[in-house]
Amino acid sequence: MKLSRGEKLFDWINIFVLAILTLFFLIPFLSVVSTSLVSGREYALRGLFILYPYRPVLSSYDMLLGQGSIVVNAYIVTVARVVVGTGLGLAFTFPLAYVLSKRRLYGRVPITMFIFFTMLFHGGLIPNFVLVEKIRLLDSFWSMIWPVLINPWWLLIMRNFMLAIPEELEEAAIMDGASPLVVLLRVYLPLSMPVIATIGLWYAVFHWNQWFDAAIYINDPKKLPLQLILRGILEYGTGQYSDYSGLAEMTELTDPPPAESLKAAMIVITTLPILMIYPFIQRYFVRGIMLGSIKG
Amino acid sequence: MTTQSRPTRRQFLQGVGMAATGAVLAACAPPVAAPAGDGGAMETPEIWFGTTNPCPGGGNPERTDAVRQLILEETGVLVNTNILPPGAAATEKLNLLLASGTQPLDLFVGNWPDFKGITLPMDDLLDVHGADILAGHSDLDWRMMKDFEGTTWGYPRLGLMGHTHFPYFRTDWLDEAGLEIPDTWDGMEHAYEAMKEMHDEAVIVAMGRRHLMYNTLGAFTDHGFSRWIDPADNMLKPPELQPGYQDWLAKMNEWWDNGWLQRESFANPDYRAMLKTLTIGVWLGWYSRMTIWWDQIRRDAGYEKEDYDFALKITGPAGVAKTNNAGSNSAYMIPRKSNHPEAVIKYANWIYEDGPDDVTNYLIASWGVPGEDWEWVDKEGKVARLHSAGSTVCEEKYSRDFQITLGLGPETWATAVKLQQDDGTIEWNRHWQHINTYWNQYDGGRMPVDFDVPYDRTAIRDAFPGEPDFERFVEEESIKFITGARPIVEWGNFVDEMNNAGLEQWSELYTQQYRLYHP
Amino acid sequence: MQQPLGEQIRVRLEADAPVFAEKKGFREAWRQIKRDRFLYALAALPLLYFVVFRYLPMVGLIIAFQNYDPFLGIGAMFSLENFVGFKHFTNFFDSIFFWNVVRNTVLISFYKLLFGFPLPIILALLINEVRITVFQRTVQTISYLPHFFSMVVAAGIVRAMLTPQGGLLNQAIVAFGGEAQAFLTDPNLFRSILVTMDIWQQAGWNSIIFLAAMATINPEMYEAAAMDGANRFQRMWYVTLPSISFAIVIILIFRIGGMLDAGFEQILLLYSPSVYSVSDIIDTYVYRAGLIGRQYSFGAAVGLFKSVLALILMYMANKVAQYLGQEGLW
Repeated sequence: MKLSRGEKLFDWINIFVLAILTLFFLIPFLSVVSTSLVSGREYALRGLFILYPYRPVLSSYDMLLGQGSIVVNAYIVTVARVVVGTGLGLAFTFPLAYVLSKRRLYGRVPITMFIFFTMLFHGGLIPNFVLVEKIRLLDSFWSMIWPVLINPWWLLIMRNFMLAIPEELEEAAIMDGASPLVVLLRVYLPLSMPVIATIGLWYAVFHWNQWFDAAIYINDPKKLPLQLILRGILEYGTGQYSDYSGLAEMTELTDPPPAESLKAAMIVITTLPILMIYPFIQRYFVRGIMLGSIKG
Repeated sequence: MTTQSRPTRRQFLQGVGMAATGAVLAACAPPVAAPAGDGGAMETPEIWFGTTNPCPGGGNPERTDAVRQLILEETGVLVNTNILPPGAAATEKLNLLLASGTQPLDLFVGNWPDFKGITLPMDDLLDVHGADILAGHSDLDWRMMKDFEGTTWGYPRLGLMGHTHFPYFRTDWLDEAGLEIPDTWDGMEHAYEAMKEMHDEAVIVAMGRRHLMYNTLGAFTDHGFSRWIDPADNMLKPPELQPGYQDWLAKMNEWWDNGWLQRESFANPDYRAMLKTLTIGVWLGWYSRMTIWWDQIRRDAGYEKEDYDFALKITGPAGVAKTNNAGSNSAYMIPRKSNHPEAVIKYANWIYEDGPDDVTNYLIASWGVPGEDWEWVDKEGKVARLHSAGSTVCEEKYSRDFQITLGLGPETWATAVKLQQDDGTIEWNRHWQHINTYWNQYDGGRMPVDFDVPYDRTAIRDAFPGEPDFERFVEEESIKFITGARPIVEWGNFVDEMNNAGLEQWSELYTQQYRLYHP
Repeated sequence: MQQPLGEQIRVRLEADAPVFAEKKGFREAWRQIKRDRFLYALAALPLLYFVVFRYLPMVGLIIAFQNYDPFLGIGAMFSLENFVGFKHFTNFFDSIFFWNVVRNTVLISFYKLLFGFPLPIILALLINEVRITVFQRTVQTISYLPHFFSMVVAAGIVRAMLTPQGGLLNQAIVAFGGEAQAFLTDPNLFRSILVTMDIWQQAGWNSIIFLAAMATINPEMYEAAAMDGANRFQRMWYVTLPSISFAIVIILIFRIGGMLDAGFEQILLLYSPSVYSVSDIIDTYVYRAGLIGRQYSFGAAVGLFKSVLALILMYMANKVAQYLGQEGLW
């Protein structure tokens, strides 16, 4: 297709605007990366906003990642949590979203309201703790999975995406003799891939970042996720937790990297791996995915 | 969670009162594995602490076990920890642990009035097993641990502190101006003016209004940063209603208008970043920002002449400017559900046992086994050497899992310790030196009128739910007066508004508790 | 010109109308349930999750009407002795700052919605129009980086930009002959700073769902529009936007439901007494009330108050959406 002059101009302006916007998003991140790489000396001598390190050092990363097997272990726990939490989350969210997208379903509105209600009303920490304790999930990996299995907001968003899929497709498939399960897996699943990918990303990021439930439910150090371990190191490393800061606190760190650099390194460590997921998800954002699957 | 019916809070308290003496003896221990080779004659009590730890997963298990064995040999107590998560989650987890009661917990930290009803009175335990703990704290520290009936609810963590507030001055700028560190209010203003003349960027930084009041309010009022008894009606009033407070506001407003006070002094800026800009001429805040943060920046950057030093005592028109920090009710407490309260006190007493002159046991609990994890280089001179550097990873060291005497007491005594570095030099850390020298130097400041009253602020808030509103209101308006957003002529209106916000109720509730201790 | 979609939906709604089974009696209902047994079987397990992990803990809501202390255990939730009725609610309503915090909450949320809601859609539209795939994907990935900054760090960056003691913005102002300002203490600017920061942090992340919606558009619609001589703007306006309206509406309803969460952590990290009057929100108020002691009951009461208001807001938003012929919550 040949582009008109107006189209080309539009493209260039669009690219220009996006490039400027991108800088706004990128520069603070670069500054964080740079800050994570400066030494105590350099930090003390530089201004507030460090765009590039003069002499990069890895001491902050050493301190956070050099903790040996506990960090490695925590990484494994976190990855397991992301994989299992996202997998199970989608496995439970997708079918329910599908069911609720069926306009003909008897009782659809009450069931939707039943779920909607849980978006707004929560029992609070104490009953949740008691529940987890009662069903013997305390100190178990599954205490980080089951209580947060389905996010009702995301469920309803997924449902609305599925509502936008024309029902004729189902009718056509049934006409061809497809069973309900085949309709679900062969028609709705491929057509829903963009939203499944998006919600999957949300689940993954949620599980990746979540630490409070682990702090409450888990005692065994071997089962603690990365975010919790790093938070602990950071909290002490930056020395801002105590109103007294006596002897004990000072012996922890005889020559620590600067607090800012630690904080920055923590962001890089906890952000980069989850960023890696995104390119995989982008595959599902290609225009025309719907068309392709209908024809196929 | 057990399903048995639970007594109300009041029943709890009554029960505790009656069982005060009986509880200790009645605490029966379930059988625990006897230590090997002991003939099994005596049960070894096993206790669990709820503490935070710099290593979120604890230290090296073998090192931790070595320390546990040493403690077992020395005290006959088997110690364990429930490590609490970092930050605010610690409080939540502690509450849930205490509430569920399904996991063992024998010692925790908090403000004791918040936990009355679920903790054990400690008097008898201390009398029997805690002689050294008792001797390790001043009467004043102990008064902060007692309710008005005289029952002790914990052993002290933080109490009256003399070392926390001093005005710091840029010494190289003072030298440049040929001035000494001032000791009067006028001297302080003059010193700053001289700095500002030579260095236009020089600012006075206050670390919020609270710390500013600790450092300066006494120069203008009779009681400094303290609640006070108004002779007019014999009631306790907030510091803001003292005669002279308006003068202080006017002075602060003058500083503000002159551009002396850093513009974000009341907006929680990043003080660490501000310190490194080298623009602070006078620092009116919390000490450790200087003794830890500034010291680190100075050493990292290799500054030779740029430095800060503080005035021990500043005297203003109304007297000494500083007010001593009355600390808090922060205490180590034993839950009622504890199976071995006597073992907890026995172990804590062992840490106190050496007294201020020899802190070996404290250092064992902090650093580990002497000769293995650390050693005395010169015990008399209090010089020690750590076998693992401070930055050693958690996995390879003992991480003070069994340290249950932080704060005042043994920890403060231990700040006398100097460390021998790898290159053989001996260093007394600036921060430790500061604490060790000044923690009990109270004459540089005023004593708050009610410094010995352990207020039950939860009870006050129960009776006067508007208390947080009242405090916010006073804070917000005071700062408006300082920054000139509200002219000082409106003072009368401000007092009226305070009355509307519940001043009378505030006054009554605080006076009521104050009178319990000062009849 | 919005005709195609509006028409489509109207047709669809009319087609749906007779499907509602309630009026047809028990037997008809049972017939339908039996017909769709596969669907009910699919839904059973996920619904069980909601019963166990979402509804069972809701007994905890009861503490909003009690003087509850966690040390008393869960059993105390069912004891009549602790009941105080609406005391915590009236305490909140009686606060001298009640109207102030409600007004701030609603205003800050409203500004965040007004400026923060359309921007991700526009960003998604622009990204969607990029023809160079590599550039498109790079922009997309970078745009959501700030979402991963923890609030502490994001607030730290904002502070470092704005501080009069060497902040980037003030350096620029001074370089142009101006005077350094303490922006974060200025009540006239504070809300704008909050909103700008929110957009910067969330716009990229929030655009993802709209990009996902755009991926479902049938390319034939663009081709048809191009045949009719529609230019790029017209195609965005008449094809892309109407085709993703189902996503826009549901997200907008959710945002309206979240109106009473104005950004607790962000405000707590940035506010100070000079700007309390324009920035103190319901959540920061509850936080201060709970600083001393264990005010679980008070927190629960305010939480419940917020939930009820959110329910009302979302109900109304949903009604409006349905009135406009859009797919709403139910």
